[in-house]
Amino acid sequence: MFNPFRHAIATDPWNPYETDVPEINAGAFQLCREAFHSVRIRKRSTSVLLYGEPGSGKTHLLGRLRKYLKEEAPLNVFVSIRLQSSPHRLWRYIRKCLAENLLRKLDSHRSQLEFVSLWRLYQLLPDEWKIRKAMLVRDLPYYLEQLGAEAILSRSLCKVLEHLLRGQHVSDAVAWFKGDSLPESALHALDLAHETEESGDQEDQAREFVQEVCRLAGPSIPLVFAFDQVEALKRYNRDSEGLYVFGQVVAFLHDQTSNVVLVSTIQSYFLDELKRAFMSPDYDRLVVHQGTLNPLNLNQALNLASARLTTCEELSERGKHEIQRELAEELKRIVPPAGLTARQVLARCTTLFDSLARGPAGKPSPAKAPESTEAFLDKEKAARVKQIIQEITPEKTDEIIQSAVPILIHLMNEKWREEDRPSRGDVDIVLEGPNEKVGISLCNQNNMTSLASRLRRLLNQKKEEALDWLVLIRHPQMPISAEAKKARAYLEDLNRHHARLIQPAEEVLAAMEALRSLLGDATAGDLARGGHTIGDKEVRDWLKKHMDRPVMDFLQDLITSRPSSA
Amino acid sequence: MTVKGTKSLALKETFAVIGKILQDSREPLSVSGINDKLPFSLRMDRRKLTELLHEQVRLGTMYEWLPKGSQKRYWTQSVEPYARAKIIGSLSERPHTRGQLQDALKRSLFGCSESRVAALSAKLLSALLKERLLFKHPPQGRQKAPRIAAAPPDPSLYLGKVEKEFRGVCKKLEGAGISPAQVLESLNRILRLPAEKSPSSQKASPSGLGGRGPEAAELERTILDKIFQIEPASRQMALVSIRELRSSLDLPKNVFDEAILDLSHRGKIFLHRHAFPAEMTREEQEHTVSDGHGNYYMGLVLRSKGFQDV
Repeated sequence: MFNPFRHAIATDPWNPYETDVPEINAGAFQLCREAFHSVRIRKRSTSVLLYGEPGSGKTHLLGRLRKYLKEEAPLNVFVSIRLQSSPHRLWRYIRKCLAENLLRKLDSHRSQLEFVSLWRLYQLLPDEWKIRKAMLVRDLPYYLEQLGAEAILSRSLCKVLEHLLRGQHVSDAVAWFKGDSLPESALHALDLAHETEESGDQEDQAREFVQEVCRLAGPSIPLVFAFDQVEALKRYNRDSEGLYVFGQVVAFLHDQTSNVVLVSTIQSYFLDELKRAFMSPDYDRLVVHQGTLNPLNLNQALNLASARLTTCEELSERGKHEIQRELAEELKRIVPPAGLTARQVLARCTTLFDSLARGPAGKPSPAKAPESTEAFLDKEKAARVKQIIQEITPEKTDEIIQSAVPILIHLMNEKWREEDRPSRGDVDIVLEGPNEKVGISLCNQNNMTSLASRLRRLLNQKKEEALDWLVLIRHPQMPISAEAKKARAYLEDLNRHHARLIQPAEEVLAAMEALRSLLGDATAGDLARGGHTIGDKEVRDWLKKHMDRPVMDFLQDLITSRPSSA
Repeated sequence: MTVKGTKSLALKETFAVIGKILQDSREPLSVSGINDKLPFSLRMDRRKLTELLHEQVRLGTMYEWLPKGSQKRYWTQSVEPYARAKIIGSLSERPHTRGQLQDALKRSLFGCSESRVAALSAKLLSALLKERLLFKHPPQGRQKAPRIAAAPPDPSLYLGKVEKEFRGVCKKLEGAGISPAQVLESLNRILRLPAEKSPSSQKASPSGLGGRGPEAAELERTILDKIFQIEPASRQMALVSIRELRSSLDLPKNVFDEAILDLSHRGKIFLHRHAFPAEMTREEQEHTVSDGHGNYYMGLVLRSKGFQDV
């Protein structure tokens, strides 16, 4: 029988669990609503920080907010961002998430981006067209130009919007939106100029893109940025770089936009660490409003149980009544004065429901030894790898390598960690070990001109950098075309000096992404077995013993295989 | 500029002007009220203006207010949050009966019908009481109806008769050489006896801080003062770090821990657990408050925004 209590972890505010008990965390929700309306009326960005214990319903609350905005205040853009990223590509990650959220379809089968663009264009239409709610496709460039002038949009964004609204070159336009590298042919088809792809510049470009989208939405459409899993920015113990950079992101969005609502969620225990890592002015901007998600008291626990139970259609009314009575007895017994989190309440209800649903004459389930944490993690990892393999594309390589490698290398060998010096041009990661420094450059450009430029810059740069050697990473499914003679020549030159090209297998990338996401979820308190939240230390300990051999070989290769020329 | 462009600009300007009129207005305006305030060049017929306003309401840039008679009204403030703020504002000044509150709310809602105000007031009151932003006060003295206020009732207001009785006893025993302090001590002993005998009450009040004696009250006052000092936003239910609070108070560990647990048992604060106690160092554990059941609390939140007993 379907157990209505089993779903206890919300992972995506776009797909929250349907049952909601509004009185739970009503204060924090009210705070978010007020922040949203204040941005709309005062035309000034603001920020809300929400904190609670793991399982207190932070992501669920973001889902409630998203549902409220959809139903009650449809003029908005909702952007959900789980911060499982490297500090050194945070703006690019936010750009990618913003693009993915903008392109999500709403109930009207239009994406948020279409909705926003069409609304802005509608405002520019003359009255007679407005009444008919129609526009001639041939007039689109004219109105987009007007919109571009009014909202100070770049030519590239206007062009890409035009393609998306016309339904032309959609996959290339979407890739541009996400910040992916585009081959010359795609740039040509989109009628776009070639843009610089140096990593420092890319961060600036991504930041400007985010700001530009805020201007596109305009003063009447607030953008809600829901930052979840802030803790996952921490790569290892005593690492504050990610949080520091996030502080700068918050300050920028707060100060440089006028229509943004920032809603960030953290675990209560993390607040002290967050305060220490943020610069004081950035922290002030993060906590313009603060709200807590408090443990559930007995009444709230009973209401939650009752709301979930009503969704179980397989049970008769009488059956529901009896189970509800038993649940109430149990909750009265277990909910202490300090309360319990929603996850703890649901975990207890899950177990009790299972045994009650079998009934006194029911067949007892075969005695099963409780699953160990290790077995749970093994199973979870396998499921994630399977899922990632289905979705992975070569364009994701940079993000996976940059966010997973520094963490996994440090786990494998604590003497190695990522250097946090400001940008080293085209060297994306610098790994620092005992008396050695290895640079990693991500060379996954689809555009051969960009790739050649990057390799040329790396050749010139190597003399200035005190690196022992350099590793170039390129996805195996991204061959360097025969026509890209310059790129090939620079690559050979680099090989002759101190660099080496490594092409990680897709399975290795998928495994690294799965491990990174497991660790990220654990750090953010979003990994639980029953009512027990599995902490990141447990996952790290398990990983130290059970890291996949191919992943270990790849990591080992990065830090030990010195090129013969070096 | 094209004709299309000119018309679109005119409409945009109308929206902007209407927005400004409503934002500057101290009360919601009817369609004709808005039209009267529009510059002559932007005025339009009532039907068209109503359509425009409905469109803006649908898009959420303005709100439809409670009607006055049959007249629809519009404003930049939504009815419910506005009424909520008015209720909390009135009750922060002094407690009201439901009737008094309804009258006050009616005056704040710019002339809408009695029945609408009654329905809105009942709905909001029930929500605010549930959220513990408002509190019911039982009638005291000759009062017949209960009051509603923004802070929990002050027990001392209900102790008039007890005080009179107490003073009478003190006077009686004065001649026998018994001081009022000794009478109070005896009363304390009598009142605490049942609590000491009941294990559940003992669990609920381990420290003896909860309103039992001036020292306990003083300690609670000190803790709350310090909370407001180190985290001014605690009045808005922001989390207060127990580590920070402990280091700013200089109290013996057991006294501090018991006082915090007692505040939680008495429903004055929420306590937030450390998510992963096993991952804390011994030193980190020392800074938290433990309840002896494997829970280590690292933060607290005041339960009521009011908390006006400090």
